[in-house]
Amino acid sequence: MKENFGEKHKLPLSFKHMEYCDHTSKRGDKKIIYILKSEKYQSNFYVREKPVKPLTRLL
Amino acid sequence: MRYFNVFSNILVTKGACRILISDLQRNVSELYPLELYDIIQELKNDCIENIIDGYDEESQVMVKEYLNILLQNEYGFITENNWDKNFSALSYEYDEPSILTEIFIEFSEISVLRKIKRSVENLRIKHLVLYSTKKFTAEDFIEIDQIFATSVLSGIEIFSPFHEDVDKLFVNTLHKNTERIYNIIFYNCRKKPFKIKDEFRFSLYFTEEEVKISSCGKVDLKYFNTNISKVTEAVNHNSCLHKKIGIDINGNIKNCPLMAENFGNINNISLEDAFIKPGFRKYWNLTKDKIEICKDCEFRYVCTDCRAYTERNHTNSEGLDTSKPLKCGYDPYTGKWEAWSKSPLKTTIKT
Repeated sequence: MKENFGEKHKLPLSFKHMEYCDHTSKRGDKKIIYILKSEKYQSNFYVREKPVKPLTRLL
Repeated sequence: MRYFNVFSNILVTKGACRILISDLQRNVSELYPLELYDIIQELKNDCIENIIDGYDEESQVMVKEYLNILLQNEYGFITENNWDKNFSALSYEYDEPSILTEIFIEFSEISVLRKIKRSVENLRIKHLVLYSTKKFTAEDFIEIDQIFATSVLSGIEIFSPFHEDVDKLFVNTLHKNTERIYNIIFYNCRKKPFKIKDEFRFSLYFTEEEVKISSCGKVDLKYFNTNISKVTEAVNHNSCLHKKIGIDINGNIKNCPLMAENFGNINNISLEDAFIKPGFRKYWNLTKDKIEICKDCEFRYVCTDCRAYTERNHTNSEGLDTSKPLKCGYDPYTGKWEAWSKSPLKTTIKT
């Protein structure tokens, strides 16, 4: 919080220009679900998944 | 009297000169001026009318403008007479059942993958990233995928150099004969062999770049993610090394193939044994809040850290490197990005 040293009003706002992020990193661009087998999990419907974050940043 | 209620899925991260508002339901983040942070805090403690009255006439217009922004973006809602107490705060705890979630391997030979197969199952590793300087044939790709058939791995990503045999037929063969591969990046590709459409069971990229493993660790807007799993992991743990294991080209087991410290060689020790060695998990809880400069950055929970390449100018009391990632060109004190490699400190690693 900005300090108010006894002034009548809070410090004036400046309403600076706002920037918007590029939303290129949205997940779920492809709607197809690929199903795998997993012995350990005893499943024929083990879903192939992309990680929730970039595991490497090589490019 | 009207009261503003911030939705539970809205995370506001305060930086040195801006704030980032992350919508953890829509998976988007937006930057706003720092003064909006003060207003959001005030809105949690007082009614809208009192807050507006506290500002001078000119600023009152801006407070109303900020309120409109909060409403338009559906960061919250207004109630009469009091806040709506039916919506409890969202927990930022992070829970992941896998002992390790990812393995990053600098490919040397296929036998390494066979060696780790049992450990991948035991540790319930979900993702494999393979970086190779060897030009993989279609048979190589298929063999890699088949080693992990019926395993717990739920995705494989491969970086391999482009070569002249890679054409649509080659990629179609992979499409028909692989299951777990979700991403293939052919680097050193001067000319794309065909136009990529969204027709394969994996994403495919051809890049001209000569990608070296030391190219890793870049911090850029394109690598930021807003989703609750990533953000809660970053709030509680190191966003790169938590639950990660790596094997370098010589078979040394590390937190990441690019880190210096190794915990044994894959020819002599299993991943499970390396994992329980003292020090293997020492970076796991080093959050961005404990890293110099990053701790003042509004992107700290959507960014992925790097401990392999850092500015190497800060160490904490436990001897952990708490310096800013070397390949980050963002200055949270000015809000400006510049090419990370411009700094004179960084001339040795320009990859």
